[in-house]
Amino acid sequence: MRKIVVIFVFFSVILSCVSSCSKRTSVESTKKIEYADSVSQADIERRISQVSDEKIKSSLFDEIPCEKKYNRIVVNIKQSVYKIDEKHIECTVTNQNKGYGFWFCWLVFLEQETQTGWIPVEFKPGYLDANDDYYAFCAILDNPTIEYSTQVMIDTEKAFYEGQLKEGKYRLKIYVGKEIHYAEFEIQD
Amino acid sequence: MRNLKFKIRKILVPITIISFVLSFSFEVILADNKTESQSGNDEFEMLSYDVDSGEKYISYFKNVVKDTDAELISPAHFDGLDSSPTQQYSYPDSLSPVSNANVSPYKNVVMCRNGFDLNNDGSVETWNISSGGFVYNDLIFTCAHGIYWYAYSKTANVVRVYKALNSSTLPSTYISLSGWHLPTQYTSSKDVNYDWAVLVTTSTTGSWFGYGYANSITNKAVNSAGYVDQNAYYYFMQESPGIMSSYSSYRFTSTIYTLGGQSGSAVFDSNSIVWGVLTGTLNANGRGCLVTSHVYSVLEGLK
Repeated sequence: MRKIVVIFVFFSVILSCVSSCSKRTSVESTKKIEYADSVSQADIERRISQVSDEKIKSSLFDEIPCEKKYNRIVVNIKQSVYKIDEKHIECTVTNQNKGYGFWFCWLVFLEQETQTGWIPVEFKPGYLDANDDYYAFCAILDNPTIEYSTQVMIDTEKAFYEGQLKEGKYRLKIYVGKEIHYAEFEIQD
Repeated sequence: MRNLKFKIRKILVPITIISFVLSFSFEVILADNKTESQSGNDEFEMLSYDVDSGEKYISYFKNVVKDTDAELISPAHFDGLDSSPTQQYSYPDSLSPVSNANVSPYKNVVMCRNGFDLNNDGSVETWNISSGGFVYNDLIFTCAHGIYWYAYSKTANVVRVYKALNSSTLPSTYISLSGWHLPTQYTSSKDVNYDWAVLVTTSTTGSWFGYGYANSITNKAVNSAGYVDQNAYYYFMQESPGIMSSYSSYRFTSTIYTLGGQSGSAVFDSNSIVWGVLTGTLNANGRGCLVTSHVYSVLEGLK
């Protein structure tokens, strides 16, 4: 009787271990990711800066006019100081020209202040495609009397900034229409 | 001695029972996990959304494609107004306007206006456009990145579907969605192999594309039809024939001339069978995701 029990327990443990191992292998095998062709930050920014006048002055909706001048755009950083391990750095973009939709670039760039001026903080945009459409249209339908506002952000994990950010002064570089806007903030430990 | 044997038995019997219970529990736990861990094989995992309830949930679709299946086709459906749409395509190095979008296969093509609430204030304020195609009476096959904004981890709050749109103005009527399904491989890590989605509409259509799975599609002559997000093209359907020049297990490249907004366009042959969906371009050459065994199984599961 004792032998049977010992053998049973032994096999149960072995069976469980084998099953656990096969499960782990299976889960790992689903994690292989094939990204699109590698693309540099410079390639992406070049493409963004080449957006056509035609596009940024055309509304996506008949009932909402599109901003033509882009001279009343305001950007506001959500916090002036962020912790070094902050996951999201957010900024609102508003067109103070009420009822006018506008095109903005949802991909935001980061620059750091140094003794020689502002320099770009490089990231590896592994999940981005050079040919992605980086512009989106901001407008609230059925509400023509208000200022339209949206939010852009940097996800420090997805943009592979994590670990690169140190204490210091930074600014977001935001394309709205063809204009560049900056929103400054500080990172503290 | 007999007393000692009795004591041993007293200890061993509970151990045996506990072992049995533990062993059984392990098997139950493993069986549960099996559904997840094998989602790439026997079952495929999707992030699903139900518009009415506003709930997102994980759903699983059984793989209906066998390893031995070299080709599977779900035929196109015509509503009786059209004869066979079979046609020969030429290969211009540009987009061509579709002259009549009310005949097959063009009437199966849709434009999607996808709205997001990026600033979390409860109103939809940010929009993009994508294209797609009906592949069943209430199912649209399109790209994932139109309705899922990976950089912001946001799904579209509103999708307005315009069927066979080909005019100078945007109509006031559109088709709404009752839900959608996205591969979790895309939503969790933007795996471009899974840049496809299935939208479920609230109303049905009488005509739709077929779809095909094949383990070889080299040099297949195809066409694509969709919408370009530049105002010269707004609301007007464009087509661009080409050849599927190369492919891997999940993706293809082609000679289809492709610009922004065309993402999600069905890539179909002369029999109105969809073999893939455009998701991007490289030097204006369209590339995208194939109708894999996963896509085929999800569409079959949703019918």
